Amino acid sequence: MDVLTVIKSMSIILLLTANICFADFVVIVNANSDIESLDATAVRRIFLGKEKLYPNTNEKIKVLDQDRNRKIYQTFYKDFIGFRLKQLRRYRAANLFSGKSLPPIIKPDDDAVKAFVQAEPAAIGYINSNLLDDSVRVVHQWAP
Amino acid sequence: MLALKAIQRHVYGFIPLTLCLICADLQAQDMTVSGFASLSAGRTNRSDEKLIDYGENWSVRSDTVLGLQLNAQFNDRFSLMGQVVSRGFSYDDRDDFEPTVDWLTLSYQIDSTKQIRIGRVQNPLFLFSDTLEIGYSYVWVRPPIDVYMPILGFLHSVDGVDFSYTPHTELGDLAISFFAGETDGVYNNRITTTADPIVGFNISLDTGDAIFRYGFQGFELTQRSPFGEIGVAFSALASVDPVFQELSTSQELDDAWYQYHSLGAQAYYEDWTFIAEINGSVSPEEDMSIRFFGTYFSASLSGDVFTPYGVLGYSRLRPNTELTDFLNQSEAIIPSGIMPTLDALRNFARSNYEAISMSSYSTTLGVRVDIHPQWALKAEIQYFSGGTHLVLGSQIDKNKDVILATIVVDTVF
Repeated sequence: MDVLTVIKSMSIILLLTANICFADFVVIVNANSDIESLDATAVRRIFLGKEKLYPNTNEKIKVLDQDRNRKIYQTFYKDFIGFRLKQLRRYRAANLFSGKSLPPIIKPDDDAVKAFVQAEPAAIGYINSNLLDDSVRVVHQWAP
Repeated sequence: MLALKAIQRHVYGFIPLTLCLICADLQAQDMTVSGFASLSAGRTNRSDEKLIDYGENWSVRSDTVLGLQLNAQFNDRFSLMGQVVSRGFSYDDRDDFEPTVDWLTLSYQIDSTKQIRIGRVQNPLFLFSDTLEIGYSYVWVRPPIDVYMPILGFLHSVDGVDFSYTPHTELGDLAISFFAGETDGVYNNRITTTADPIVGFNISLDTGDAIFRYGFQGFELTQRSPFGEIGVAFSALASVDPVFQELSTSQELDDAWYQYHSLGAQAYYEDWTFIAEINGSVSPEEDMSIRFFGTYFSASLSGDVFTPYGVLGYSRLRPNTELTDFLNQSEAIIPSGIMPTLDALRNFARSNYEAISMSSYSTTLGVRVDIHPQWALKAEIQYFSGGTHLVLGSQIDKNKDVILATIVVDTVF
């Protein structure tokens, strides 16, 4: 085994390890959005339906969720938002049928969220950070 | 005056609908239809009186509900929500499963924290007023009925306007709302109630670990009941002594101002959820006014699938005590045994008073089973001591306790 092969192998291992270590998510908005960044409280309020318009632009927020069976969905709500999934479902039902807020638009995966955010100026969603590119803007990032 | 009332009701109730049709021309950006349903079965141990229409035989009607909702977003600021609910049983004069409009609101989002709505909303009396029919959204089969129903039976919705302000503060998420409007209804097919105007405000604070809420409302109440006919009969003796005129007017209520206060909290600790509410009315102590007080404490332990829970409740109704004073005074003027008709009237008035005057303790044990992300199965058993005022005004035997067993399946779609 030559030195180059060893370096290549180690690089792959390092990259994989880095992916695991930084398996965080980022909250993204449209690249042309006026929103530069959002703190954790603002993100939490947006995804719980407590903010319906962006604070500085008064534009209607289009909130995106990922499929509830995906790991990122569970991490986002359990570890970041702080809601048990069962509690979240009850909360969303109460909000919907009391006119407080509509549930988010559900997208099947990260790519679908990113594609929607690219196309829709008022959209906001969360994706794994390793899928990030400059077609969208990061307004908040989180790691466990 | 009646015509004015009718116009007012149309303004509150149908402006959103009219605007919806106008806005339909503008084409709603988003339109969604959703719904909820509950299918229940229950029975009590009592054959002499029904509790929320459950008797000693199993019934699948009382807590069975189907609701459909339309949400339309016209632009960034304007949206409309309409909700039609069909119930198996209600305390008013509606037929079984007759669809009724529970919500019909046109909302304008002023900015990210302020909103104004016009139309029909559920009366914000309690922590769970907004979602009473959405069984899926809470842990119990139904919110504590002995505490909720005596006042909800009369004042379950408000036609009017509300304004809400929902900022984030250092303490948590604050929600302040003010509302004004009117409401009316028929309770138990016997008592007609009008609250006009009804005004109030609610303040709630969500700290993340707990929600605290205080609500106040004031309303001018007018009530008519079959007891009013007794009043007419008493008035025939008004020339004998003024106390008979007092007895006459004490059978109904005219434009009496009530205050209603409610305090509630919901707290989370690890897998436990604790909920407590205390509420009561301040009545003017005149004519047929009734003072109400209720409180409950609920604890539930949330597992992945099973959520067992228990609730302790207490509620009390006290009619204006002047009525018994007037009856006693009238007996001093015309003693019993002289006029058999008057004796019958007095006995009837006294028995009505005693039927309304009651207090009850309740204990509830149950379990919620989340069988699917959108389906929940619940089973609970409730014990009410000393009868219950859920059948307000009836001649229930208060010395016998009531046990109610219910199974329900809730879903949202």
